[in-house]
Amino acid sequence: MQWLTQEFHTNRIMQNTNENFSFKKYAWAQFKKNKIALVSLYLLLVLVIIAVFAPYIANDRPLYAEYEGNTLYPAFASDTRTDSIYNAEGDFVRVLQYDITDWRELNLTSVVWAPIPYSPGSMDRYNRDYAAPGGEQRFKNSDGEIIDIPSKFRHKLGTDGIGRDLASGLIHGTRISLMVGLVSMGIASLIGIILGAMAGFFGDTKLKMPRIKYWMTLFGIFMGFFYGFGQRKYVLSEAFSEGIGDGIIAMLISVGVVIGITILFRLLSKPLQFGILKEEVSIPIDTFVSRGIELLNSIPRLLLIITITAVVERSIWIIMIIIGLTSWTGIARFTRAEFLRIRSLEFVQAAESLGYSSIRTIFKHALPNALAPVFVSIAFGIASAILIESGLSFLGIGVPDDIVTWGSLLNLGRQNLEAWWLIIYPGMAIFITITIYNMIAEASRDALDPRLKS
Amino acid sequence: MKLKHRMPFLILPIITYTYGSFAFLSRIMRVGMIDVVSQDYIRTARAKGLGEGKVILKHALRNSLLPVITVFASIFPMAIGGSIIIEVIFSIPGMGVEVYNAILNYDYPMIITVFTLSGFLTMVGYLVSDLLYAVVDPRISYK
Repeated sequence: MQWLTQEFHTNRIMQNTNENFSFKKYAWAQFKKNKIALVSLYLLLVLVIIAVFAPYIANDRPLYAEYEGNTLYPAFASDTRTDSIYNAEGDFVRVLQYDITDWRELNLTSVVWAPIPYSPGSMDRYNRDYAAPGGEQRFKNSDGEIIDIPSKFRHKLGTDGIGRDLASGLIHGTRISLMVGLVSMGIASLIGIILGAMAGFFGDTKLKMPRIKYWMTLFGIFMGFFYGFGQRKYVLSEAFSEGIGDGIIAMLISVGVVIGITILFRLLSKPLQFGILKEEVSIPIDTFVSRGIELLNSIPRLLLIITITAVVERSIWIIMIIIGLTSWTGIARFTRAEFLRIRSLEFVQAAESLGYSSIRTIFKHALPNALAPVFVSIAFGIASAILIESGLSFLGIGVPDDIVTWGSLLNLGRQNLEAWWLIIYPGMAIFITITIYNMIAEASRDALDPRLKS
Repeated sequence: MKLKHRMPFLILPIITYTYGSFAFLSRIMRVGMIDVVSQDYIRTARAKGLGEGKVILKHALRNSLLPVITVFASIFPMAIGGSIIIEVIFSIPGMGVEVYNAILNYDYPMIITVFTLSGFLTMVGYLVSDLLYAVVDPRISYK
C-alpha cells in the first residue's frame, strides 16, 4: 500500500513541475530530506579535504620559514631536497637536508608551522613512552634547554611508545583509508558491473556462437591466464616491488596478454568450423558468473585476503587491488538482478530490434538505468573495504611497517592498554568514517528506490 | 567446573562477536517487517478482530522472516572470518588464531583444511536456509 501512495506522491510532483522533472532532481530532493545523511555528506567532504591537504595540515617541516635571510617553504618542497644556506654576507652557514633537519632547533627569524607540527613517522625523543594528551610533555628549545612544552608543540592527542604524534598519524591515515575505499571499490565495480551485466543480459541462452569457437575461447582464456599471470608472476612481483607505476604497467601488459591470446585462439577456430563443430551452441554465461559468485562467497573474505597478502609483496596498493578483486560479488549480483528486470523492458527490445550490437545495447541503453542500486552497493562496499583494511593493518599483515594507518595505530594501543588515547581516537576515526558511508548509502537507497522507503 | 571457570572470560568476546551480525540481521528484519505489515492479509487479520500481538507474531513475523533466512546462509563464513580478529584480541586459542598462524607460517595443508571447512559450512548454511524456507512458507515445497 505504501508504495502506491508513494507513487501517487511522485505523480503529483511530476504534474507540478511537468517538463522540468528529472529523476536526479527528485532523488536529490528526497536525499536532502534526510538530515543525518546530509550532515554525513558534509562530514565526508571534510574528510576528503583533510585527506587531500594532509601533508600541509600535519608536517614537522614549517610551511614558511625565514632562516639567515633566506626564505624557505620546506613543507612544499620534495623530501630529498638539500640546500646549502649562505647568510646575508655570503658566508656558508650549513647544509640543510630537508627530511632529516630538525627545524625546531634552528634559529628561524620568522616561521609559520603547520597546524600540527609533526609528521606521522617522525619520532619526538623527548616524549617517548606514551605521553598522554593532557599530561606532562617536554620540549627542547632552540637554545638546547629542555623545557615544559609550549602549547603550539603539544601532542594534542598524545604519542605512542617511540614518540610518534597520534594526531598526525590520524590525519595521514585518513588519506590511506579514503584511498583504499575508492581504489578497491573502483576495481570491484569495474569487474562486478561487466560480469553482472553480461550474466543478466545474456542469461543462459541468448549468447550463441559455433561450438568450436566456444571451446577455443574457453581454452584461450585458460591459456591467456597461464601465460599472462602464471608465467609472468615473477615479473609482476618484481615490477610491484619497483614501484606502483611499474606494477600497473606490468599488470596492464598481463591483461593485454590474456586478451591477445584469447583473440588468437578464437581466430584459430575459424578454419575448424565444419560439421558438428559448426553447430551454434548457447553459452551459459549466467551459470558461470553465478557459480563464480557463490564460489567466492563460500570462502570467508578476510581469510582469503590474509592468505593472498601473506604470499605477495607488502604494499598498500596491493592490498587495495586484492580487496577490489575479492569484493565484486555484491555489485555483480545487484547488476545481474537489475539486468534481468531491464532486459524485458520495451526500450531494450526496441534497441535490439533496431539491430544495435549487444555491447551498445548493454552499455548505452541498459546500464544507465541499472546503476542506481549498484551505486548503493558500492557505497556500502567502500565502508566494508575500509573496515577490512583496518582489520588487516590491525593484525599487522600486508601494510608495510613504516606506513601509519588507523588500524596500525589501534594495534599500537593493544600493546599498552594504559594508553587509552591510542585506542579511543583511531577507533572513533574508523567508526565515524564507516558510519558516514553507511548513512549516505542508506539514504541514497531510500532516495533512489521510493518503494523501499520506510 | 571448567565451564564455570571459563564463563566470565567469554562475555566480552561473545558481545563483540554477535553485535555485528545482530545489527545486520535486525536491519534486514526491519525492512522485511515494514514490507509485510502494509500487506492486505494483515489488514484482514486486524479486521477479523485479532489482537495486535497475535497479528504480529502469527501473521506478520513468519512472512517477514524470508529475507532474514536468505542472509542467514552468508552468516556462517562471516563468522569464521570475523573470528580471526576477535580471537587475536582476546587471545582465544580457536580456529581463527590457528589459521592466522598457519597463514603466517605458510602451513598450506592447514589453510586448505580451513578453507574446505568454511566452504562446507557455507553449503550447510544454504541447505539450512532452503529447508527453513519450506518451514516458514508452506507454499514452498521441494518435491
